[in-house]
Amino acid sequence: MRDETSKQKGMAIHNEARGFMDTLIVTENVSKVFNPGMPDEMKAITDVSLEINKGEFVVLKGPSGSGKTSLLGLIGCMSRPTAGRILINGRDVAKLPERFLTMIRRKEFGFIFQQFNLIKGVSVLENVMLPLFPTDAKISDIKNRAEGILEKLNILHKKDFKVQRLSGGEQQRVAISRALINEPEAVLADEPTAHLDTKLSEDLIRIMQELNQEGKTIIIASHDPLVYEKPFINKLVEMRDGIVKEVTAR
Amino acid sequence: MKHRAFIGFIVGELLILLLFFAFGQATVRLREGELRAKRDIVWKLMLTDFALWTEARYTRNPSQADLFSAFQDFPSSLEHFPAGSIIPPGKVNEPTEIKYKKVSPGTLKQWPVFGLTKVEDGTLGIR
Amino acid sequence: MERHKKILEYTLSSLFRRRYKNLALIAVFGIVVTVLSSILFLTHSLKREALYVLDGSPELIVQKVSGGRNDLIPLDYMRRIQVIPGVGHVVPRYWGYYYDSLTGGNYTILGIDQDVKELKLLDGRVPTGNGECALGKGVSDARFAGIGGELVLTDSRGMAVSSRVVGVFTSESDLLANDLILINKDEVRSLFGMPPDKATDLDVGVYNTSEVSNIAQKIKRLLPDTRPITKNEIIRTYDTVFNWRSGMILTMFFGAIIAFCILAWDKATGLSADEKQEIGILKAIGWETSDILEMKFWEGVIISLTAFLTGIIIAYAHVYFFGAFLLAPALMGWSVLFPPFRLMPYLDLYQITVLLFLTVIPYVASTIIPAWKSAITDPDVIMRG
Repeated sequence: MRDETSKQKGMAIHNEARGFMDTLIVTENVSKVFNPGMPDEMKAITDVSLEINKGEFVVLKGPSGSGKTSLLGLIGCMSRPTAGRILINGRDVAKLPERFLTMIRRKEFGFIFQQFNLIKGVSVLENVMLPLFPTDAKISDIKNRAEGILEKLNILHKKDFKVQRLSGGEQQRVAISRALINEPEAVLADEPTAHLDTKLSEDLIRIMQELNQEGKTIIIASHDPLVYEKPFINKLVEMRDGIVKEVTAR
Repeated sequence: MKHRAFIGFIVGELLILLLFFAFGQATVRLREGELRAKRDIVWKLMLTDFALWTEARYTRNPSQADLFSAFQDFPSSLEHFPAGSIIPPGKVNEPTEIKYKKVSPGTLKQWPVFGLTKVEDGTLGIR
Repeated sequence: MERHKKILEYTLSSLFRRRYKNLALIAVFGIVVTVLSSILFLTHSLKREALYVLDGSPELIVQKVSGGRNDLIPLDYMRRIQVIPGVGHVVPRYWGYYYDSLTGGNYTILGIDQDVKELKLLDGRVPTGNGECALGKGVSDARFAGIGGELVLTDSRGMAVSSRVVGVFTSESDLLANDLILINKDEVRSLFGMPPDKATDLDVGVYNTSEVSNIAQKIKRLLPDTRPITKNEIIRTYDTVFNWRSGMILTMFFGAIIAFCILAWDKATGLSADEKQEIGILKAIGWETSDILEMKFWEGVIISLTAFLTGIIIAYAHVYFFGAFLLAPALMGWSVLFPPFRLMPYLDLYQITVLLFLTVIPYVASTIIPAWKSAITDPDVIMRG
């Protein structure tokens, strides 16, 4: 098919140009089906093959239902594919038991959710520290790191506030801080600007860009033009109906 | 740090329990004399029961009570003394054994078990 | 190790967020434990004490039974029992119940003879001749008759009989002597109108205690209208009475257990939407299933262990420092004279352990198990929802 060859061509050129770069994530013919065999069976992703290198700023673009959120979840080791392989740093993670999957996720990824998903009733500081609670790090160490991140994002002064008392923009920064607590290789964000106004959206994208400049891989799933029209995006993956339509590399 | 407070609290309670336990042991030893004195009274006065439920005679001396007094008002009389509901009826009779030995008719023999008598015509009578 | 400390810390914070609900849970649980363990402590102490103290009881008591009722025993029987081999002493007992309409109480009148010269736990002295009596503390208090005072009783002919009080039992002896009136045994006979050739029952001693039941059988055979009661049966009575598996005690027990089941049921019927969401978020940010379950485990343990230990401590203080004042009315029944509890602090660790297993473990299970389904969900569920 014409789409296929142009896609493969694009990938080949891209790989050649960046052949010396480290590949962080590779998906090979990955599919995800929810509730297989049941009346509400849903094919979220079909046969997706993708490569993401370290330090890239990647945007998964597509309308809702296109499978971009599901793909993000698969890449971020939040769920397992129904078919295909996923390689993180060359290691196949699709069949790993939960313990190892979580370990890899904790080491490599930070996640920012569409609804932020901060725990109500809990302070800003504790929310940020939570992802590292099931590890053997000492509370004081985690606390120091958290405070450092909060300061960088200009929200340290509200560290003891309960999160529900913060404004939307402040919650956004807490969510970003939480995603950074484990010093991940990549930061994944699912429709981060969906509930934000233009200013806050631009703020967020700017923070993402800064993180990218510091060396972090950024992968954002979004159908917001404010996001996918940015010039500094390295790879734009267009999706529709669960398949990758086009990959544009810059 | 809440977890330290919690662990401290639990340890504190366990210590209190340990203290109570030690107190208990010490008290028992201290009051041994009292126990012996009580046993002495029981021996001298030939007592058989604690003076706990003095409302009726079968509750005052439950170990001595006859079957009758509990039912004295009516055969299926429901318990009307509250203490009676705490005290179950005691065993009154020894279990009955029946030993049987055939003997030629015309003799009266008594077996060494409660009230079993063989009567002249060879039938068994139970007392 | 750090991991567990942190999860514990988070669980404590989480419980603290809903602190009133959780304090109420601890309170209810704690009350259940207090009631149950109070009953256990009380009955166990009484049982142990009975076992020791009533060991001084007569080896054999022989009663006469007529028409199913207790009757006075002819003194003639003494002679016939005395000749049974193995029998030591045979002593008649003279005693009876006296209903005092003034106070509405029942007293036990016990006749003693001259060879009881002194008694322990008695202030004053033992009554020697006629017209003297020694009282249990309960009687003394009820009739306002101390040493030197006077006690007036009504005899079988309706005549007033007066006695001078020469001794009052100390409060330590309450459990045994609270309702006693000790008088000379001849006076018992005249008070109750007993014929001179009869006694209330007989105290039979045996040389070899292992022969007691044999001798009891012989007595029964020899005198078919008697009922011998062995010391073993006496002690066993109290074993049964204070067994926590029977009677009113079991009823109270059941009440408490039902309350507890209701508590556990509330937990077991599932998580609230809030709790489910919290678990979803935790899984999404990197908590594993085992971490979530550990959190739930701590939740159960924090509540149940706190309640259990506090309940036991309160129960112990209630029973051994405050004389079980909350339970006493339930056990007292209609007794007008009820000895205040000065229980010996015997602890049965077995019972406490059983209670621990019957309360803490089911509660922790009922906290963990409903969370299972939420705990094993995929981390990406929160994204889809």
